[in-house]
Amino acid sequence: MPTLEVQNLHFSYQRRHPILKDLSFSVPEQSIYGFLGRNGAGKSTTIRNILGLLRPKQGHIHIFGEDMKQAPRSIYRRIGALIEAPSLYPNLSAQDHLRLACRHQGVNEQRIPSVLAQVGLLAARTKLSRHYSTGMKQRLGLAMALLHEPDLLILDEPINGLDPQGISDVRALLLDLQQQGKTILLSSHLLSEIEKIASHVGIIKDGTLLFEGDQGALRSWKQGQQQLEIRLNDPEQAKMIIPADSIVQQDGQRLILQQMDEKAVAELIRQLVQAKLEVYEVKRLTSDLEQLFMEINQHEVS
Amino acid sequence: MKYALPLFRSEIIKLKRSAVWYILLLGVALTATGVFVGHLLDAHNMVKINVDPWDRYFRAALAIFNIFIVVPYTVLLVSAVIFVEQRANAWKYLYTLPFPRGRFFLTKWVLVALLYLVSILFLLTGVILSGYLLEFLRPEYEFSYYQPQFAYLMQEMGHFFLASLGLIGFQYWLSLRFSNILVPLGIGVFGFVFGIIMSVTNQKIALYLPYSLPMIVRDFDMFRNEHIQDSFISGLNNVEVHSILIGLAFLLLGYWQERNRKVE
Repeated sequence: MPTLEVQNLHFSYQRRHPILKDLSFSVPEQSIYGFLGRNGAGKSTTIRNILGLLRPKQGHIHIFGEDMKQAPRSIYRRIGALIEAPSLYPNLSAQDHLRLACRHQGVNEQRIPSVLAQVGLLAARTKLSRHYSTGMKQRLGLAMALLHEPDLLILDEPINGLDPQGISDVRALLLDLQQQGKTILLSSHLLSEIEKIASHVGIIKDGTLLFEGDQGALRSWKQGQQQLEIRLNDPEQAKMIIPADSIVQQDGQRLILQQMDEKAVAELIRQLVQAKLEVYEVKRLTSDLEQLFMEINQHEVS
Repeated sequence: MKYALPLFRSEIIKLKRSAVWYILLLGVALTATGVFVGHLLDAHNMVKINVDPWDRYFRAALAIFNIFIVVPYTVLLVSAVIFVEQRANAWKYLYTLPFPRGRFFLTKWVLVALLYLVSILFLLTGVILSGYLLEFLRPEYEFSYYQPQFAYLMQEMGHFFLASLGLIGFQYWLSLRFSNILVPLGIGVFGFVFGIIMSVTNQKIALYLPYSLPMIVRDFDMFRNEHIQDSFISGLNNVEVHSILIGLAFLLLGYWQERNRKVE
């Protein structure tokens, strides 16, 4: 049973302007699920729907197997959330914030120092949050989400504002939490980060899920998406040799062809040379996750 | 009850180093000091044979508090308490906690009402202490010949509290409804002026205006309202009943809105 399951979610702020369209995905237990999408793709809106901050027009959200429409409020004790910039009271210190969270979550205050140490804020625990840098605020938000040791962590862009060391620390922390059996839903527009820690990936565009699977599925899918680029002197003559349905795009002397195996590539080159065409360059267009992300945002998966 | 205590304790933590305490002390100090200084310098009116100076002193303090202080003070206090949440954009944190949304709303309302009561108690203390100081500085006022009527003072403050519930409820709803603190403050300032005007010019409207109710609930020879009468609830007049009903209406409206708030 997945820890979190979203089924056919529809949401809009205004009529006729849907933000989420039939969105479905599931976050397996003890996974780090990277929820990827450009700014405005619908990531934060999805998370707000999951957490009950917004009410979906249609669809179901199940957490720990419970339908969130009927689930008791106590289910929130098993969830820790950080949504974009954390909600901090400028007149309170990190220690005060965690005391507040202890009251809310019914946690003993003795846990405060260890959580502050976990996010690297122990030394700055008495400093007022209004004097914190963006990265420190983010760490404090993370500490508040972790304080009650939730089974499911929902983090919306948690590394925003962190320096490279901070990003590395958070990455290590999340991997450690996963090892402890926690499930993490992590939204981000930074693909390189997701690639480094996520066990599963969902990619959202305009409120619709374009891809979902584990890292292995993503790699296979990526290989299936590889294309071939040929640069030659007369593309128009070449187009009479190459099957029309193989041609993806023409750009001057360059032809972009659909992915094909090595033998098919060799045969194609032989035919072009026999037709007295001058072939200047043949190369595979390799796409890393970053490039893939750009591609699937430009061309919807068929 | 299982939610009430942890939520209330967390509300107290949130007020640490906040402007709320300064506003509270300022409202109290302003009234007590104003009455004290006024009487210190007004020996001519104070020294009267067979007139209880405590009674005169208390009535002056209550009149100043009710006519000039209570409305702007309430507007500032309520706005400041809610602004603590608005400034932190705390709703997205609070509403993902294992408490029903309505509990936050009600706990905060209780906090506001209690702060108001605390300020009234501080004011009572301030007025009484300044009265004793006046007795020490001006023995000719003859405070020592009379006993202060604390019961009277408490009773009057109770009337003011009830007459302020409508204003507290309305300002509480406004402060939650608008994240920009200038909106409830601005409406509060205009409401204060409008309340004074209506208290003077249109006694019937004043009976239903939350900003006028604390001003007219007791007669201090300034906003005498001929339409004030006993209500169906023993011991309460129609001003207090209107205030309670207005407060209740905005409490219910706010409760419903908070339960359905979209946290964007």
